[in-house]
Amino acid sequence: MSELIEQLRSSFANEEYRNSYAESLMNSYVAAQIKTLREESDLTQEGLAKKIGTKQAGISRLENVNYSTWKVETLRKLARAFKVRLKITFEEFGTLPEEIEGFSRNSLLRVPFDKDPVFSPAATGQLLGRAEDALDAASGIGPRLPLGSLSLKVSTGALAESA
Amino acid sequence: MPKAEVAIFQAKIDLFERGGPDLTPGLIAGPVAKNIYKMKIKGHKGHVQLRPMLCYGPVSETEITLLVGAIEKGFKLIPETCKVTAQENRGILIADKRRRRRERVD
Repeated sequence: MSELIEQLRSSFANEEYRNSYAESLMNSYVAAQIKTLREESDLTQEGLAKKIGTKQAGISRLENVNYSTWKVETLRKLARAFKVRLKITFEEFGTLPEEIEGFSRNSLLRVPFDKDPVFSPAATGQLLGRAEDALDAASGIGPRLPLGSLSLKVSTGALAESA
Repeated sequence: MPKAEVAIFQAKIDLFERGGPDLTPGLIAGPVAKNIYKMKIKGHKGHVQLRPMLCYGPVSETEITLLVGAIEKGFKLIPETCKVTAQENRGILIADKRRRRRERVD
């Protein structure tokens, strides 16, 4: 890491250099991530093109490290096709060496919503359990049955009888 | 080369070193001649099309070697002799592996 920082430090003193370097990096990064996420989704370029309403050649252009005329609307469509969210942020130059050093297929992968551990059914159950424990601890109630094991039946007939 | 072009070039190389051709799609094309490939880099605002000539190896399978600088204008490589020069330089490196150097372009 420090070697790369040392190498970039002198070059980055030049404003034009650092801006061009960062823009080149961003273009390459996005192109590589589109390709990686498409492959991870088992989609061909043609398949992805159909999903976002363009042609295979258009996807091929987006997956080229030299592509530079990104449109937010296209990126938004791609995010939906990959079942992930689009995040656009401004970053400091200081975070750039770490991004380069960590550049790998794994660093580009993102879990689609239906496999996202935060929102998958199993993970939701765990979160619910933790919420119950917290409520019990706050109210002084002992352990109780998990919500998943309870069932409530509402019968209009029973209501009518008791009325 | 102008600063902007050097920066764009170096950024592509830095990512290629870490991600390889699979994560830098469209960067290397060819072969344009026997054992010779070209790196495709669109320069600042697309004004210059950098096309350095390279080969895989020639010593290690995990390395590429830039052999000669070139640009492309109107689908023509400049200088016209770049492919031949690249092949000659590759031959020189194979004959004397110590002449290979790892250095940055910036």
